[in-house]
Amino acid sequence: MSISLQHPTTDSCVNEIDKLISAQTETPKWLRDIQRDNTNRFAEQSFPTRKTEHWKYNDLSSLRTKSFLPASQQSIDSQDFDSLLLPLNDAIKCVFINGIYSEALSSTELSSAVKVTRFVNANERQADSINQSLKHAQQDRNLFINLNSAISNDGLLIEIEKNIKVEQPIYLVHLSNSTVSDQIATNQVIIQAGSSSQSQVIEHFVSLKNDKEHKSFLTSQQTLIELTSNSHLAHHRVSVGTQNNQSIARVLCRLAENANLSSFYYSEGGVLDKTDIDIMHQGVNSESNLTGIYLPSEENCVDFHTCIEHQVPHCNSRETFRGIIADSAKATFNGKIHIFRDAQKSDAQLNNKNLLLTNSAEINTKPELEIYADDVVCAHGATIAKIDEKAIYYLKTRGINEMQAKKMLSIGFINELLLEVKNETLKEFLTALVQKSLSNLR
Amino acid sequence: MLSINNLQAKVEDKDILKGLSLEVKPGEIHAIMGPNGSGKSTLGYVLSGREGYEVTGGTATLNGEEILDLDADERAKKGLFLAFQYPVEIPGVSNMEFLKASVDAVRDYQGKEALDTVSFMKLAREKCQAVNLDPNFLKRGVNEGFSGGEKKRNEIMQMMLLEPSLCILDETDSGLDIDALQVVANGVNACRDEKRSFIIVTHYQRLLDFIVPDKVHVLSDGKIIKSGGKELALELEEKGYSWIAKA
Repeated sequence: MSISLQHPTTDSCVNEIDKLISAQTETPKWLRDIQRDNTNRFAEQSFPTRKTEHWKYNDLSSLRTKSFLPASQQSIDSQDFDSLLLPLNDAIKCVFINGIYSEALSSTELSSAVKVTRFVNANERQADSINQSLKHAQQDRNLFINLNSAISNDGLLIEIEKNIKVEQPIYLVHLSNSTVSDQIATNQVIIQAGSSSQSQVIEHFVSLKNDKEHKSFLTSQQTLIELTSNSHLAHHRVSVGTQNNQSIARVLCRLAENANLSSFYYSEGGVLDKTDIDIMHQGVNSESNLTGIYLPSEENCVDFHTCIEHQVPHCNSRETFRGIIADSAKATFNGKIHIFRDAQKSDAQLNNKNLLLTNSAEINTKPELEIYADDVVCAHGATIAKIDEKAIYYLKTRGINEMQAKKMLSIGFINELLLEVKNETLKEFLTALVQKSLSNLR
Repeated sequence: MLSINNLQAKVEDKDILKGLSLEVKPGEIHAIMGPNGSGKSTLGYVLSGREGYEVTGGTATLNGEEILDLDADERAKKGLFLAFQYPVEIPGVSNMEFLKASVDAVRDYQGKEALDTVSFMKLAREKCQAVNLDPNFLKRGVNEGFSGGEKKRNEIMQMMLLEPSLCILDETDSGLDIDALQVVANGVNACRDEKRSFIIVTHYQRLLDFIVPDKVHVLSDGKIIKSGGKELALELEEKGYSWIAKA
């Protein structure tokens, strides 16, 4: 059974998904209902074109010519696998291969304060809670996310106990291992932080094979993060070595009163690497700090669409994204701040800075403010520049050659943001990675 | 040391240097004075290899070697140093990282071994002390948020670290108070030896009270129109530039 996106809204496509859902015999009924619901939502939308605002800078034409088979879990060599992981030895580790949870590679018993449950094994209470989460996550601008929830007959629920500081990072590894082309991997994760808890999450996207033959491998992923009152979460999401994948993802964070989210993103881009990030301040006095770095090179694309919603008063949000675009790469950043009518005393700031290294590098940046309250502090800005010639000259007069000067200045541009990485192991890893990826500058 | 012969240069189609000649011998200190717009800073930029400053004629050799075709970093490696009038701020790059890269590059060119981090730190702290700069400045971004005086002292510190053979100081004294001026002058005097030469570009005679030049030149309209000993600076201070231009 394969899914063709040629005419996604026609009956034939929906029939294909229906058949697929029916074939997944072990799915509990409540989850199947969610799948059906998303199938309908998917069917209601038309396939995006370059005229669809949300997809304006993405070329999806190649997706339309293909039929996708749902990816299967592959057995992998554990040595190959270990070499790709961050050295987080004490982590609570959840591993997905092609979107499918691998119990064998995961280790979730390290802390009693973190409960990891597959959707298919959820008890009644959990099923209810998953259902609620997915309902709250409904959206209508990205049909691939609907497709994700339509195809996925599983997912992972991570519950963090209340009133506790979890010392071990929660490490989610998303490994893609495409053995045949034209596959679609889907995955959904729900993270619920109990009230007054404190924890750290790292989502790591990595590809086992990164050869060019697998450019038609499509991954679709959704992470829903719920911070209940007074909880603190340091969230990181990095994709590394996935340049030959197409990825369409969404992260939704909902913050209750006094909750505090720090969220860090890192991407080197891919054939397509699009992430929608929604942060919803739903409880008063909640705070979010969103940071992102993108370093696409060659002909890769990266796309971040962020939306920070201040739904209630007295919330605070900070957002900083910086990108260095090399070669003929293309980056898109859309950052929106939406202040609801009753959200007085909101304090929201958004900033996006870009360095273009070549004449063929492309950046499309659009910061947006939508404000319906009248007593707020909001600021937004975006800049696009080349590396400062004066700074290069200054370094050169000190004996530093042009290549090295450019490298130092590029790393300097990114360095400040790396300080926002809360996990030290990840910080070290990314610092080395940034050095490496910027050392091939031309 | 440095031999400039009939140097002509333009910036954006405007001729700035119009046949400048200058001979600096090892160990000498030359002061270059002159009114605004006479080409003083341009001379520093042209000699150090700034892009956009096009040499249209003449030659310049450093230790017998033609330098005008070299890249800016090559000239620095061969011992030419320019202390900037307006040092550039580089956020995100720490002063320490910058200085280490610079010293490494120059030492590598000279065939010397790279300094290990510990010895480099020690050396950098020493030089900081010599120019009265808090060693905490090493951790900050290059010139980021430095005051005018701190930037200038940072320039002198770099000069002391790199031990160049020819130092060009472009209005290093501008905007400094007397204390900072003395620190800068002490730095220069400490570097002074029979091999190292200096070109000191300045508006004011007062720096030359602390750093005594061997020769003083007046630059006007892209040419040296008068040269003399240190007493010429005093005369200029008293009478201004107009009497020379008329003469």
